[in-house]
Amino acid sequence: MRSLGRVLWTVFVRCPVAFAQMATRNQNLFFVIIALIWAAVLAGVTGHWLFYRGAYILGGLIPICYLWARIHAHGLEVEIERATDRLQVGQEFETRLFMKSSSMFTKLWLEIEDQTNMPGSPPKTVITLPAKRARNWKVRMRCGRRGIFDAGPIKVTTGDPFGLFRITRRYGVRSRLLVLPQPQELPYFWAPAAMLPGEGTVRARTHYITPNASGVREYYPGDGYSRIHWKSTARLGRLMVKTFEMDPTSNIWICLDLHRDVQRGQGDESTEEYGVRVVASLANHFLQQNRMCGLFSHGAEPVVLDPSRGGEQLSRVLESLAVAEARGAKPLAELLQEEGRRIGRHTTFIVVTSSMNEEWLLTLGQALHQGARAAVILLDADTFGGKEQELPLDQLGAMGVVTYVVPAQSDLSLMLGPSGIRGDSLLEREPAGAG
Amino acid sequence: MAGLDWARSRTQTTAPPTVLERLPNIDWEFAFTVALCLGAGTAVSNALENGGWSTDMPPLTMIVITGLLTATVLARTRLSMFLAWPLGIVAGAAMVFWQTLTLVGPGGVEARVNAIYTRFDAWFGVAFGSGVTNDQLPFNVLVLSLTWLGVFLFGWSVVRWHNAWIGLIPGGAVIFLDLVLVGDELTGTILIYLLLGFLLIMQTNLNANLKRWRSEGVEYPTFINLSFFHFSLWALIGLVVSAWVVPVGPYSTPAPVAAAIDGALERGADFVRLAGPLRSNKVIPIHSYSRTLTFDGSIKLGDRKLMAVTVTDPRLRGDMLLRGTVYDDYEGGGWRTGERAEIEVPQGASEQVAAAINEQLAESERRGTLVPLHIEMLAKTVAGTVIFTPGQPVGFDRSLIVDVPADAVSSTPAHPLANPYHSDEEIYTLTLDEEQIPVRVIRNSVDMPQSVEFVDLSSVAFSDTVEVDPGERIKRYRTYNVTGFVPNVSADDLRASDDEVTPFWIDATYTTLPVSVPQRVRDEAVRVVGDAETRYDRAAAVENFLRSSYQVDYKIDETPPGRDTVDYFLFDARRGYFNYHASAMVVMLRAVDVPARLAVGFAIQEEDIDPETGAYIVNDDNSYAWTEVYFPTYGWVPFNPSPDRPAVFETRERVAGGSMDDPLGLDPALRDQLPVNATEGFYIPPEVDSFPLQDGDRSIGILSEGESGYQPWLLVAVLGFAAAVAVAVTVGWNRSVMGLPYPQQVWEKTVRLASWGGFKPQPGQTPHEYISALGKLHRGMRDLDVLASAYTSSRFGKKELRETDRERLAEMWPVLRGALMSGILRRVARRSKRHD
Repeated sequence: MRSLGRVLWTVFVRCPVAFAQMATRNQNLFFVIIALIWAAVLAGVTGHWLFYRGAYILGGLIPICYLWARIHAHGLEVEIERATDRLQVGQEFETRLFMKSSSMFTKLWLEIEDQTNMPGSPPKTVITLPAKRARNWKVRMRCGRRGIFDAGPIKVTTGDPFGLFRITRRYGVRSRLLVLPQPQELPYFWAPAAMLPGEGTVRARTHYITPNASGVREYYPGDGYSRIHWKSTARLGRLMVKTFEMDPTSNIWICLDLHRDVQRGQGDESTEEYGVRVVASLANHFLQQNRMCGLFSHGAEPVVLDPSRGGEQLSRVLESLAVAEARGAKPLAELLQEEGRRIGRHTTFIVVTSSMNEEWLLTLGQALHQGARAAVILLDADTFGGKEQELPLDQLGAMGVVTYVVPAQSDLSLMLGPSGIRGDSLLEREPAGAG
Repeated sequence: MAGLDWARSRTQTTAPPTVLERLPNIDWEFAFTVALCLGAGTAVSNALENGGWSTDMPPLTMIVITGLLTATVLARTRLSMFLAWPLGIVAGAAMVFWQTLTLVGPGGVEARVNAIYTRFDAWFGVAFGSGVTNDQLPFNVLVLSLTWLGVFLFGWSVVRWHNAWIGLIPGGAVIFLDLVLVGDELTGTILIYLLLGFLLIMQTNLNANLKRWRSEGVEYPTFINLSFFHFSLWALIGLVVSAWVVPVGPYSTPAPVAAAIDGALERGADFVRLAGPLRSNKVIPIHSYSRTLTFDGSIKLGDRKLMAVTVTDPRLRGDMLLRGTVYDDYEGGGWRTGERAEIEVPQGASEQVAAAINEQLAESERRGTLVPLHIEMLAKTVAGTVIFTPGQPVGFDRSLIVDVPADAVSSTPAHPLANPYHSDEEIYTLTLDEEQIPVRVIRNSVDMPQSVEFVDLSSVAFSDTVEVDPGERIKRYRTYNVTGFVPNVSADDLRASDDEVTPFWIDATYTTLPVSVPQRVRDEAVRVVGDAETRYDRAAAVENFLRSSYQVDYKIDETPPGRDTVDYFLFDARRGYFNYHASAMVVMLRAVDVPARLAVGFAIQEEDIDPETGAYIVNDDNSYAWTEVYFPTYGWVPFNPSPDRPAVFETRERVAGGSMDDPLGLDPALRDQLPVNATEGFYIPPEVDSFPLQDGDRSIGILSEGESGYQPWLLVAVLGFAAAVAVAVTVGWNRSVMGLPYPQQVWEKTVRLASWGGFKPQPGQTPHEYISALGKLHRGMRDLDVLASAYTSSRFGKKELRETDRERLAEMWPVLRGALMSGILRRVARRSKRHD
């Protein structure tokens, strides 16, 4: 009984639904079937040879096209090679495909698409693959936006020449691709220096070997032999290694405001993207100078990267920026209040925000009272499509904060330089790189 | 189908690759699409033009080309459909108007416009009346307009919607209609249309993909269109050839469907009166036996064999007029049948009819001959839509429908005892006399019989059957039997019949003429009959006048628009053929109050007899029309005003020649044996009522038109195609191993065949290991090691094969090949079994 019900369900529900879907998806097959039915009925009704022959041709076309499409899809081997899974915006993502036909029939058309959710058209090509031949396809796709994207699998679509049937096959697996933001050179950027060496030092341990040995600890496998402190080893009877501290220097904290309510613009021309690019460029700028640079923000996820230096820190910053999303619920004032404990007198503090709210200025003021020096990079929300608001330049100027204003569609390397500085704080400027 | 070199051509960007680059928005795929459209469109227009429907038909191909180009250009632009379509319609209207101006003839633009207005005005008058027009202009304009609209939609849907079906299906319908009317000469056109049509479907599919690829910036092979065309063309050729080889089904049209089709055709035929003198280049019977008969101008009768007519009484011979139908109403541009009543005659009922006629005739002094005929249809022809009879039909071998003039039907109240439970037959028995032939019973809403309609034989001279309808068209090779009664009447008897009373409805129907008949026609009739007083003398005078003064000519001009055809024939053309002569006689007789009508059918004479079978072979050129004149007591008597055939057929011979005893030109020795004795009444041979179909007749077969089997050339073509394929496969197979030493060739072939059979060499397997495993699979094979050794030494040792080894290989190879191929077949069988 159940099998009968299944048959009836298939015949009266599934088949008509499938046919309706097919008709909307593939009008040529729909017309062929309708014409075939008409020709068969008219052949039976009138007995005219033309309808018989027409029905034969239409009836023969369907299985032939089906076989044709199957032959096109059958006997295809696809090998996929991807160069890397980490790129920066502006770089090209390269994939090599090697397609080999083991079929004895020519494949008239194969539409090959590397399925990716990267912005822009997915890489796609159409080839003709003769029997028993192979073809290569090198895909180069420019990464236009930071983020984590999918790459693959390779989708191969083909069909018969008359468009009756279309078959899709997928090859390979989906892989992840991380696109980091592209930092820009900031040759003219200047930020006020914090308390200079002598006014206070930063005691922070580091795994780097510096002239400042700060103590010893027990040896752990993996520690370099050059770090062994032989005297302590001899004295204690077990292997001891030296620990080091960084040079006395000021820390640089960058705060990126990713509060969702203050963002303006869409896509690349949004305050979010500009903020990310600014922070990436700043981090690159300072880390290239071997400065201690840290980052905190609160977007979709809270991010706090303690100040450090070197290429690895830059990678960490860029990775966190790559996935940063301006969906945070914490306003900048709150963020500064929470993370303000990290800001000391020997800290240079850079805020990147598009917020015109004056609340965070108070918090910033408190940090300044603790002796920190600050710079603010204001993303001009008006130019990103926000409503017109007055920039708090006067307040910032009164607080002695260097303020850069970055409007939309501007060159960061210029705007984060003298031409981007607004307000009275310009007078306090010192030679570039003096921080 | 090996790959083409261009198939692996470098992928290039989508820019048009040729000189067409310089033309804006035109790529060669588009040009190819338009070319296919033009090919398909002109195939249809060519078929229509070659059909020769109308002498004044402007070149449709030009309309097709301009329409398609307009549509494709508009569709190629970014114009919205709501703007482009009105533009296309305006362009089409301008084109049609221009063509119409050229159609109406010479003169300035204003004069031509006036002529168009006048002719359309006259045509609308005919259309809303019941007349028959002889003006083709409206039909031509209609065809032009529909052609433009059709091709515009075609071009638009192909270019803008990438859908070829919208245009191809109507085009196919037009070809089918043309095919039905023009015949099998369109086979070539159909093949071309099918080929181009399916290529166009391929092309539109490709165009849709190309458009998508271009919009996405996708690279594709430059010559992908050629690859598509190349492979699709061969596939289509194979498909079409296969479809042409497979026999068509031997099914006959179901009776209800056939009736519906006939009804539709009959209704459609009624519109022929508005189309003017349509014709086609196909040699078809000039008479369609429909409700309208038009004057066609020049005709070509042809010599196609339509029927074989055998007089089943061997004692009868002679010339005959086989009547198919009659036309009652003259309309200036043609003829129409009058109102008719249908009497369903069941099989065997003709005996009752004959008995009634017999009794009626027994009381009179009329004499006549019963002519039993066995008629076989030799072609699928419109002549199969009616039953042909010599004289009045009195006997049939099947149930059929007899048409009588509606005015001949009388009505009487049903018998008082008749009640709803009585059948029609019982009510007929209760209500009618034996001389009254029942037509139908009129019942009220509760089935109570109210009245009975009948034909009263006492009120007419004879059972006036104007047409006998077989129900459905009699197909090729089917036969039927019919018996007709040919009365024997002398001229004196006909003259004397003027004293009898003519039924009022006959005078009312058959002496009227439309007011459009010019007065000079009437005057001419009066002049011709002169002082002849009797009907017979008047008819004879007109007949003689036409036979002597008007030559027969089948190549005549059509009647000018607006002119009365008989007037044009009598005073301008002064020549014509049977339709014109007979029509002129009818009109002239009616002008002098003699009841007359036009009869059409076939005239057969002794020279038409096939010496081998003794049957009259009826060809297209036996088509004929003559005049029937009504004489009280004797009914309708034929007259022949056309001088190309004898004035006297069966009836007239008895009258004019005085040979009343030899009405059919019988051999004097047989004359006395005639089973006809008018004074003794009717003689109906026993076989008349139920002519059995003879077993030897091909009518037993139910083959329909077109499936008559495999034509030799087609079989040769198929065999040739198959041979070409076999040769191509063989050449390709050998070419693939060409250049290799013989052992390597055999090895390659062995590996290929074994792989197709599911036994591929495994990685790392040596030739000896592989061949050993193969030998286990095919246990009957011996000495396979020889192949492995020969291959190894040739492939890796670069050694020449010894002659003895070569011979052993050569001997072994056919056996090995057979075993491997059987392995392939076994594998296929296994797979299909698994799927089942």
